[in-house]
Amino acid sequence: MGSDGFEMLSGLSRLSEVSGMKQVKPLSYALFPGYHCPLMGAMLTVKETENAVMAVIGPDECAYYIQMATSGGSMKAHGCKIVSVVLDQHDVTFGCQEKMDEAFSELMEEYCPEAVYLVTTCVVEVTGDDIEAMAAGYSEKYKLPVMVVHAENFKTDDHLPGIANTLDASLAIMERQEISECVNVLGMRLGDFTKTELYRVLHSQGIEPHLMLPGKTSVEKIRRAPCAKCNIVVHPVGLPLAVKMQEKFGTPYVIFERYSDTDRIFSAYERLFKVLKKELPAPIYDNKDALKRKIPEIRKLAEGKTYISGNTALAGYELHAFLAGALGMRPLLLQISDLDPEGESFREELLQHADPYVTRSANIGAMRSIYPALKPDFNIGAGDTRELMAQKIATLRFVNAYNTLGFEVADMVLTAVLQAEAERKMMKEVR
Amino acid sequence: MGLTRFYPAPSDRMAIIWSLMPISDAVVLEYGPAGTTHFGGGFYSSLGIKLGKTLFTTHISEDDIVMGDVSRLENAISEVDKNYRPKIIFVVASAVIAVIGTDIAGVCNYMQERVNARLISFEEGGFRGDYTFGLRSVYRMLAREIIKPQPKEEKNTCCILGASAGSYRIRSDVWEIKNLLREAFNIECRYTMGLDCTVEDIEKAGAAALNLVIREEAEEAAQIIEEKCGTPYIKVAPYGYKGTLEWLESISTVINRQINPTLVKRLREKQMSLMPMGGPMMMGFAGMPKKNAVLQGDYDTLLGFRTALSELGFNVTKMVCSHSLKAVKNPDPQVEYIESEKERIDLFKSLSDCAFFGSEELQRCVKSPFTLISAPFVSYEQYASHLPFMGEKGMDMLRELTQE
Repeated sequence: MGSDGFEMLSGLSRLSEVSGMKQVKPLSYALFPGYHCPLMGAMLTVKETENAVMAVIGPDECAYYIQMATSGGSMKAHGCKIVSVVLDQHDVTFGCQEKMDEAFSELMEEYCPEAVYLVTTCVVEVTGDDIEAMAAGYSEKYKLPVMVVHAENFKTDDHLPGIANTLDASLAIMERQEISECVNVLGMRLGDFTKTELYRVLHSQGIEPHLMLPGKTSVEKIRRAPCAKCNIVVHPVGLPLAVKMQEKFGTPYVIFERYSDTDRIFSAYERLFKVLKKELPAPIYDNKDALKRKIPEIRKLAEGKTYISGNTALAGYELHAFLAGALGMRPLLLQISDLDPEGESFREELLQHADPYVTRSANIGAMRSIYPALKPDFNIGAGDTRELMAQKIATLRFVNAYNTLGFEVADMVLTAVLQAEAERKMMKEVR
Repeated sequence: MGLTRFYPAPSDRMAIIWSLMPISDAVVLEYGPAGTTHFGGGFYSSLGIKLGKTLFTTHISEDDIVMGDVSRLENAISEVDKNYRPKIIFVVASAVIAVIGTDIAGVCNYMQERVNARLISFEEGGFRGDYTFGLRSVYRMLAREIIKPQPKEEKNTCCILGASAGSYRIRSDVWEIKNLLREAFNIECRYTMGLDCTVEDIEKAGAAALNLVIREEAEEAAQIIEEKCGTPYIKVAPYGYKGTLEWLESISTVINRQINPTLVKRLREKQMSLMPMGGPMMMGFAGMPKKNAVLQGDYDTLLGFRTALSELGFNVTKMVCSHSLKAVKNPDPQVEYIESEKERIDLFKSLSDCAFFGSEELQRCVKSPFTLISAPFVSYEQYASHLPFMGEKGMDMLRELTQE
């Protein structure tokens, strides 16, 4: 039993043929495990904000899952209290204002937060309750910022809008400040910025991060965010807030994603230090040169090798442009969740070298049928480990990727290619 | 009661899914946003349910909602039927689909002609009540729609109804029930409805000599099967030594067979050892003050634990049900349902000087001694399937857990 991989591929488009996500077909109509929803994104962003409360407005199932996700393990909430307003048939039919009023009053009495994020779900977005108006009313009544994060799942194929919307909503907390020697880090979805190369470089120059969002923070830190000399946008989810902060407070921003290409990393450092009005530290030049020397050696091993890829912690299209361009690898299929304008130049660059199939992400079940049909050398991102091994497909593992930014990303990618090639050879030898 | 601080009671929809996923040659197809399924996968997995090829989602877009487009559902049904060839596809509406009122039963009706799998829809969406309503809905449906009239060929088999994957240590309880039946009557269990079965197991369930109903929500299904197949049932779960003996005696009466005397002797001896002067260090020792106990859990868990703990010399002072009692026939007057989470928490926090038996919610509110016996238990992995609360071994474990 199972799907026919060749038949699935025949229904897919190539990257060059698509300009919007509606043109990107799923491998199958029945998905598993399916995409994360924006509620997850909102939770990831708020859960470590001290003195904030996140209130999920939705059916008991959404409330249950969000409580389950944040009550322990790697996504445990710290500092932020996560609660719910559970909607029943009555609320859906007659509106949820009454229940919301009661819940908000209880919330204020019990937690005395400094800010509240009201996070919507699919049901409340469909019933059309005016949560924005309720939030404005609570804000006025209780004298604190109450922000609405729209987190319906039916407008998106992943959880990233939930992060972007939460960041965006946080603007309401911010107040104009005196500028000091610090930066904000926007859009670091997972991981710890203080473990990255970029942090170490900035720290060596006397520049510390002020607000890291998502990340361990507080309502007070968000309020004072405009004190930063600049915002460093490490993922496109941070861009809308960066743009708005520039408009409202004049805070400049620099895009510094988790790039793999050494020249791009170098340019990001150059832009950042220009905005900071500081000299580029010497080690930046050394790192760039050392990595550039490594690339031709690795290209010899990687050139012509094929791969399929799902989402990773890295800047997706930039990574593929690097692998195809600098290393001569051949992407056969990309599982994507967006065709964002920020990635357009990287897609164009990639298309100069390869034109892979594209399909929607988070469908590992169906991907099992693709492995034998495409027979790639490597897999990148999530996959069915057992089936990949059975098909002798090695995996490019970006170890500790969430804690990297700067040249260490390129180093990690090159190391992963070397290791995957060794794994591939070993697999082929085992008959 | 506006704010929910911890876990709400799982919805009917969640129980429907966790009771259908274990049917091994069927597939559950959720019609709704993929995020729910992604989160749900983690939850169902935490209940010990295997995820491979058992659960799929269609995902939905804004267009589907605004335009009422059901082509995603149609395509997904055809695809699952073709690629996985399940005997049944259970199509389950999500909350948002229930709100917009998509006629998934209608879609299943016309799609039935195009596929080999049988299509059965659930339109509850999570708004018809808590998980007990979902359990009732699934058990009733399986009894009505799947079980076929069978000749009574098997004198040595039974079926277990009402073992919900959402109950703490349920696989251990089922293991203990099976062991007891084997030892007592040389009876084997054909299948456990909603926990471990195939479509064929359910279809042929009528061949069994007896149905054992271990929770309230499955009784209606047992009645339907009795009407359809003539299968008698008993409704009680074995808790405590005395309770286990009584349970075995009920079965003995219905199937008209003797209980293995060795087992009876062993249970009687253990029962005796709990009585005053029956043995050392017993909770109910003459002259010892009774210790108070507070219970929180499913209705039948509460009744069962009261039986067992009373045997251990506890005085059960409070029994707080985790779900609504609306559908429970003649509920025990000591069992109360407190709908407001705040009132529940306030009550739990006010209690002291007693032993607590309940869920993580109760655990958060009280100081030890606490014993986890009911859902939610999401912070606790269940590795064992041989550590029951029911039956002889369950009582052995409770004795050890409640030693002073």
